[in-house]
Amino acid sequence: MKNRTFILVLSFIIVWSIGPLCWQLYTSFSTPDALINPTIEFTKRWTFDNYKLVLSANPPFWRYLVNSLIVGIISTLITLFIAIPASYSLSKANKIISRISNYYLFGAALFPYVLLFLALLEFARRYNLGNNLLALCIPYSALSMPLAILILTSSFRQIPIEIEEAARIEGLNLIQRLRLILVPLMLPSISSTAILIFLFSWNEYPISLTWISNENLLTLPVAISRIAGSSVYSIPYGAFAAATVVGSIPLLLIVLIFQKQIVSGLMQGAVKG
Amino acid sequence: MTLQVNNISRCINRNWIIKDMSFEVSNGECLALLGPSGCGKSTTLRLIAGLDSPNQGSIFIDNTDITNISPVDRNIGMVFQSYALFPHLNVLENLKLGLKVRGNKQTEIEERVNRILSIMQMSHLVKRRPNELSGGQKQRLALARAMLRQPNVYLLDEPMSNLDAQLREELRPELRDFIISGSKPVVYVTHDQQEAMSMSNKIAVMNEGEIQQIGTAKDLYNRPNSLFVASFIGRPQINTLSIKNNVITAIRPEHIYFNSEGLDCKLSHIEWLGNYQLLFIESKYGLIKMMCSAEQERPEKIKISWNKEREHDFDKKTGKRLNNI
Repeated sequence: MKNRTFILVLSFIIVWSIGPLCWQLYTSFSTPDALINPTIEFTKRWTFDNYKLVLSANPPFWRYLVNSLIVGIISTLITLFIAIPASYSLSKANKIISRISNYYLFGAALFPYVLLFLALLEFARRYNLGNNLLALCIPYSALSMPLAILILTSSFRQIPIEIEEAARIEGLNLIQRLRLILVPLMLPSISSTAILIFLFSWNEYPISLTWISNENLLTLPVAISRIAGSSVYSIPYGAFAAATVVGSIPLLLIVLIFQKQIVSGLMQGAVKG
Repeated sequence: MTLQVNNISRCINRNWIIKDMSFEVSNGECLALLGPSGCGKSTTLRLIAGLDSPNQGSIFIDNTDITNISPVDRNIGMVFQSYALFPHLNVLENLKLGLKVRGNKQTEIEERVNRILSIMQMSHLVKRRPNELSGGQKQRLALARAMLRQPNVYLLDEPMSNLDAQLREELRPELRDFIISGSKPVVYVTHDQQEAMSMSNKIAVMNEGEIQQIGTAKDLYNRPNSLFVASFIGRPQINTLSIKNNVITAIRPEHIYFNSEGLDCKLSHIEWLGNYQLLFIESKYGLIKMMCSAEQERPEKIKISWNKEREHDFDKKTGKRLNNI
């Protein structure tokens, strides 16, 4: 009985999360008519035109993929580079400091960042940061920072203190301890944090929309919204779907690559006999 | 090498974890820090290792003041209670890491690691990660890592407490061979008095951050200087009776015998433990434990007594020793 409920809940969750993806895939291969007219014959519903449209656009679609990849990877690296030392020191802070900083970080993580985009736009104008992919990484990493620090702090706390002390006695200085002991031990949580940060910058729309106007520098979400033929009067659902499918492929690849780190139980059996 | 600890104190949030503690351990000597949990014995070890620093006092190794030196430069070999092996590195990498960061030459590292691996009989395990090792192998790896750098002092923090009782007994001679009978001072923290007695030359009994008494196991057993030491050392626990005013008389269960002219008593119950039996006897001074050989016949009417010179008298208020034996 227990087993059956488990399977039921599990299949619901699977349908819930895979369903939209399948729908998207179906839309991307359908003719525009097929989407609105259910009576069309099964054999006449399918087409590659959506993909042809997306991939033959000018500038080519892969350019947006590359733009988004550059922004995603660089903002992830910046975030981790700052968040790892920050969370290390927060994990060592005393109770009062860590509680106060936790409140701030939670507040910042939960803050609706869309409210910031006007101010950020002003910031970009003032410092001439518009139409620059690297500059776009600054707000992205800043916005991902609170969540990254929260996650990494708690995983630093989970590493038994004795492991670091043993490393100190072995003669490792702070940088060596972080590089050779702590970061390797935290790889699972670091890679899942990295994916969260990457996802945020991959999906981000309002800031990218306002900071970037040069057609060659658009990131994926903005580029998709400008796909040929989209206007107030017509929405090319098929082309949108095709663009989203192409846009998700890099994400899928990244998750597949990091899968081992995400699920591995590296800390298992670390200290106790 | 001599390890000298002079009047160290450590205070956290106005609580004195260690109060004015001094001792000395010379070459080849093993001092056991023995005490109930929370008595500050692990803290003492951390102070010597440099993981914490004392609020007062100083620590010397071979007449060099190391009180304010970082643990990196103290050259101390420590075995943690949890072993604290690096879980993401295999046996070989675990051993090499410390030598590598200290800038030793590759050939020298290889040679020293291989020597220690063969001493520890772990050469066939070099590719394993710590979670693929058994409890005993983990302990040997932790010992190997501590020995590899040829440290000036060994600190062992309950190195056996994660092992089951049988393995513990098997590994005791090994631990003694490798570290304790070496030529370096050893500080051994344990809460197991049997382990302390069998592994060390000297025992320091600690309570509430203070050393109650330092001495050989024999000293502590025969001449405890306080009621705490008397009841902490020796199993079954010593009997404590109030016979005279303001005095607690303590007498060990094994020193009580049947005597037809002795104290009138009633037998409450018996624990038969194979090589001996433990008799719980009710007397006018309260419950008395008596230990005697398992074959000992019990007389009809139970009367007990003990030799006056086996008696330890302690002050009721301070717990300090009153009589001299």
